[in-house]
Amino acid sequence: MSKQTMMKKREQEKRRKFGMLIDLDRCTGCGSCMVACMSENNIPFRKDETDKLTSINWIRVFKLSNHKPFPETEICFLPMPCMHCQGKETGHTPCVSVCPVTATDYDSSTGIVSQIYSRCFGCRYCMVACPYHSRSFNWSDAVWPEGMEKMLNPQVSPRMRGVVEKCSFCYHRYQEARDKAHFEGRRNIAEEAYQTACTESCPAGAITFGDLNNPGHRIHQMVQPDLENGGRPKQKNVFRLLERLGTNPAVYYSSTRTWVRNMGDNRLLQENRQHTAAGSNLQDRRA
Amino acid sequence: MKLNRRGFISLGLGATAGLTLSPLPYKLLDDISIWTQNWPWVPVPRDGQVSFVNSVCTLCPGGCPITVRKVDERVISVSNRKETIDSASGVCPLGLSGPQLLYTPTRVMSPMLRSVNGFQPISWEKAISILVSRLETLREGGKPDKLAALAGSNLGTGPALMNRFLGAFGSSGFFHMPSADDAWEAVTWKLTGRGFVPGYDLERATTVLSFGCAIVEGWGSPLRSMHARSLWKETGTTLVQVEPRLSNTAAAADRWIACNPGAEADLALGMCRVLLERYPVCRDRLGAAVTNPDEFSSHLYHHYSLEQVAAMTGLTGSMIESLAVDFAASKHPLAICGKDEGRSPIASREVFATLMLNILVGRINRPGGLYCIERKSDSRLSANFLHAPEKVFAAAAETSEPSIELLLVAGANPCYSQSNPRKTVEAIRKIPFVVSFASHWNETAMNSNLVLPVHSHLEGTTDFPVYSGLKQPKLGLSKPVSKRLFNSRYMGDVLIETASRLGDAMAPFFPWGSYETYLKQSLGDRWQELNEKTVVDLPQPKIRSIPMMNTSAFHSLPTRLTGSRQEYPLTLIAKVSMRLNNNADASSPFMMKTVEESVLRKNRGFVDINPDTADEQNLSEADSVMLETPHGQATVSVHLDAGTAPGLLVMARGLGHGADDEYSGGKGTNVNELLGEMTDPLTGYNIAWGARAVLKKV
Amino acid sequence: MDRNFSPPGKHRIKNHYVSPFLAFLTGFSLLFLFGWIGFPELLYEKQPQPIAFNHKLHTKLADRGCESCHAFRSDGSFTGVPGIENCAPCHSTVENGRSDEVRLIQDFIEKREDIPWLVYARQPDSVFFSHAAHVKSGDLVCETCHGNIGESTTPLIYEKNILTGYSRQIWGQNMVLAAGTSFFAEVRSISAREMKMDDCVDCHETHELSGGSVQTNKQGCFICHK
Repeated sequence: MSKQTMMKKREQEKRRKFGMLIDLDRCTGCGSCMVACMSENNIPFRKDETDKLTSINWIRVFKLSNHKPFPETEICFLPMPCMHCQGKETGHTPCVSVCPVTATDYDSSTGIVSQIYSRCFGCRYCMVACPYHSRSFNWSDAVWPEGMEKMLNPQVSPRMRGVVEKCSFCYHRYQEARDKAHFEGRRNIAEEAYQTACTESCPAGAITFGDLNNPGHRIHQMVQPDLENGGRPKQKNVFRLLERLGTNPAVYYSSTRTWVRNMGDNRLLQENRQHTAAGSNLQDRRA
Repeated sequence: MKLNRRGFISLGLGATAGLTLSPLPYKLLDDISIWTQNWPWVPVPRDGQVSFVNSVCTLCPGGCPITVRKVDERVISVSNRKETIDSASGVCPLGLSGPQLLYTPTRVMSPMLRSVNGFQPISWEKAISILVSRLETLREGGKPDKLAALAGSNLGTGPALMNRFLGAFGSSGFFHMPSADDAWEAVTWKLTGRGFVPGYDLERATTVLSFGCAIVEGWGSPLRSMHARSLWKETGTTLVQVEPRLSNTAAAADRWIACNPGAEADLALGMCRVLLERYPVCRDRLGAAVTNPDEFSSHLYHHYSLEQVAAMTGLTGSMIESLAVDFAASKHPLAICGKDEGRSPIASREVFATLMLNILVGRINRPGGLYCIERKSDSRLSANFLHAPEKVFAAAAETSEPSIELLLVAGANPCYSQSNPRKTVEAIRKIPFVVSFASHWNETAMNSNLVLPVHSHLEGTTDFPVYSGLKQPKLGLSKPVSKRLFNSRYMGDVLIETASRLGDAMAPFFPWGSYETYLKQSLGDRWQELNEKTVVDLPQPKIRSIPMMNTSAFHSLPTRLTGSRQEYPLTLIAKVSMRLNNNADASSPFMMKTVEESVLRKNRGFVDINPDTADEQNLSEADSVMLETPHGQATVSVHLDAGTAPGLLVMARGLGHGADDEYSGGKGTNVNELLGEMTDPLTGYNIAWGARAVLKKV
Repeated sequence: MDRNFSPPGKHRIKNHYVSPFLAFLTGFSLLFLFGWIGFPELLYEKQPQPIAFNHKLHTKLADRGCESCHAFRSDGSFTGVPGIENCAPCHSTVENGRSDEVRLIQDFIEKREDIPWLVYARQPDSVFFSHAAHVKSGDLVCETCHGNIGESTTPLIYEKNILTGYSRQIWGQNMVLAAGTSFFAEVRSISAREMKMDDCVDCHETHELSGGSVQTNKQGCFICHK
């Protein structure tokens, strides 16, 4: 194929920005997304996984509470994968900015922050930089009980000790979808052809994954990201975590509950009071 | 020629220059860095041909259709079969753990015989010979009735074959772990003369009043329930959750009614009274359904006034009233019951009260309501309550005249899931010979004499009828997704072979060459369709109209919890979670990884406690205490949770498994040990929903 | 008189020590030659393929060229080196009785075991290579990267790097080097033998397949890594 044809073909491919929308009103805290991710990505497991600081989880389900006493207590579950931050002006993803060896990189043609284990030497600077604590470190080699190494997914490379790992938006599935597309002589990938493991496994249908730049994808309509304004969501009730940090994450959340949306950002106590004075928490729930 | 210092240094310099200009240092560095990334203990999974195999997950009674991704012969992951479920997504954590459960080293790999040195592997030939000789001994001794068999359920060809085996042998000792559906059948049979199970039309209801059903935590058929709840978000259906604590379902509900534990039936009856007082149409419906309407109304009048119900439930009279009014005002109201996952037997009072509530709002066999479904099962209804496992094991433990000398167990793990597990273990150990058909080592297998490996859920074909509150029951067929890893067999094949070895008395009843032949025959003309689709609708005769009922048997008041309030001021209940396996076997390592730090830390289990109650007890977060109930005690840590009602203690189910598997064993406490036994006066099943408790300093 | 005394002038007593220059040259040439010739000898261990497979013979019989055995699956993935199922249909019985053929049938076909070929192009686990992208979209023919293996009558000997375990020859440009190839041609072709990441990147950059990565301006890392 000539260089010109190849370039033309590539120009025709619009820049994609894969992102996720998690509906916190639908999330039931079941943990399927965590298990699906573990199964898909060869995540190691230890005998004692109760120390959540060293437990490796690419997506973690947090439990939020409105901290009101019984019986006005309300809780909400929030699954948190890697945010795949784009950064203020593309390229200032916190973890990517600090990696000394380019083991992690932001790809503008897909919006995915990749982590290449063979390049990482385990300095953990990226873990310090990530404001969402999305990254996990392999403190020791994984031990696969006898026979269980058969269930390892060949599309994802198992890690050795001393490297950092994180949610990849299942980009091996993107590779798989591209493989098929190349074979069939097309460039575009259908929305259903590339879905992350967590999205597929959510029984409540709380997670939506797709190309934020593609008006035809559901997530674009549900989020309506404002590209002029750092990707802020224009759709009502949609928010991002730590929006004010300017990390421009690709993971959006939505909730009709004000107290949940308020938890999306860190605020001082006075700020919080002003923020919640506008609407009482209980009004959000149907009587 | 000698080398002086200058020469030596020059030699060195020359060597260095030569080396640097050769590829050696760069290649060596490069290769060493590659070598450091190639440790032999880091597995490199091999690539291969990707294929998808459809099947039905049989790890819980939900029977959800799944598709399994394989690479060459290896099973990699489990995902959802979009074309078979309405709102398309998901698999529960247990289903997703399928590959782990397939490949785990805790599988029973060959027939194992208990000896003084622990379990020894033996051949199938020897195992069946042992079984046959034991059976022959029983028969020759004129004691065929001393054979008993415990199955996980009474549905499907597996239990049917077991029942047949016992019948042909001359024993009526087939019993199964009772389910919520069994309780429904017993209650409705008593009420109407026809036993049925509920088919809840969740998808079309407009208000769902749930009495403690853990809808998003595994109730009924887990995926279906979660899809329904997501659907409700779109259709605007109101979910009212009646539960003493803020469970995930209560948090997901539109309204949470913090009712006292164990008082759900009382609330329902209180609501019935409000409806009968206010709405003539409800009185009409009562008259049309019940032969003794005045007796029923009078019972409600005397015992279920708003004040009385308020006292029982801990709610206010006005809340109870508004609950009833809102419920009746809804277009398609539906009341559902079945605490937690709705699988273990429900108190007959609760079933009765829920049924009455649905009758009064006129939603029996109506869209969005409760459909009455007759199950096709093999056990005789009338004998059901004589075969409550508690009673069977108690009789087996009798020293004077033990009722069982040979017990077969398949698809059940009573040494864990029974109330009073310790007593059950003692009873099992007293039985002279116990044969356990198991794919994984569990507590019952550990206490058996002969353990026979059966295929795991991804290795064999078996039929799987699913009721679980579905409006349209299904019949699933699990497929062999993986080739058999170990020396396992179908339980059916073992029974067929044993029967043929027992000679003319048994063999004619087992004419099939193999279990798969029998299965194919039983499924008849549905085999083809099932083989292709793996799940089809089960044509069940729906009872169009329920015969008139006499309610007097149900006019009893609730049984009290044992123990005095002075000694045991608190109440312990259990909670379920999708993150722990509540189907009697241990959770997979993946699931154990999702268990929260507020539930388990290292090997210590937690109980939830209200912060004010903790204050009163002088306890702070993560303090260790001795939790004591009249039935047992355990050392636990406390977790302060504002969603837990004051005076209530909540412990997670699914922990406290045997310590053999370090990933899931020896962690936390088996809550069944603390809850004890509460026998339902009608069904005889254990309906223990809680226990009185006290916290003592360690 | 001091024998080592060197009076000024023409006469110099012969120095018995090696001249530094000579020492330098000696050291240089020794290590230089060791680095270029001795080291590769030590580093690589020659291993023969389990069966002496004759590609030329088989391509004559195959109808679709390379893709007869090295095929694409319907999902776009590549089968790579075929399994025993590929060989079994034709090699069910012994035809010519040669030792390799007997071994093939006895040790592999009858046991239905895959032949443990030593794959030259084997890449580390971290690499994701899409044959579909290169062959279908990139319009590359097999020979471009793998050389004329189809013409070879016997497999090239597998030289295993004892440190890394990978083949010395990753790409097959020189797969059909005959025994009598001149030494200089061998030396010149050394750089073409290994195919590390930068070699892939060179070709990508030539075809202007770059852009995406904010740090390197190459394509995103995960396009080729997993």
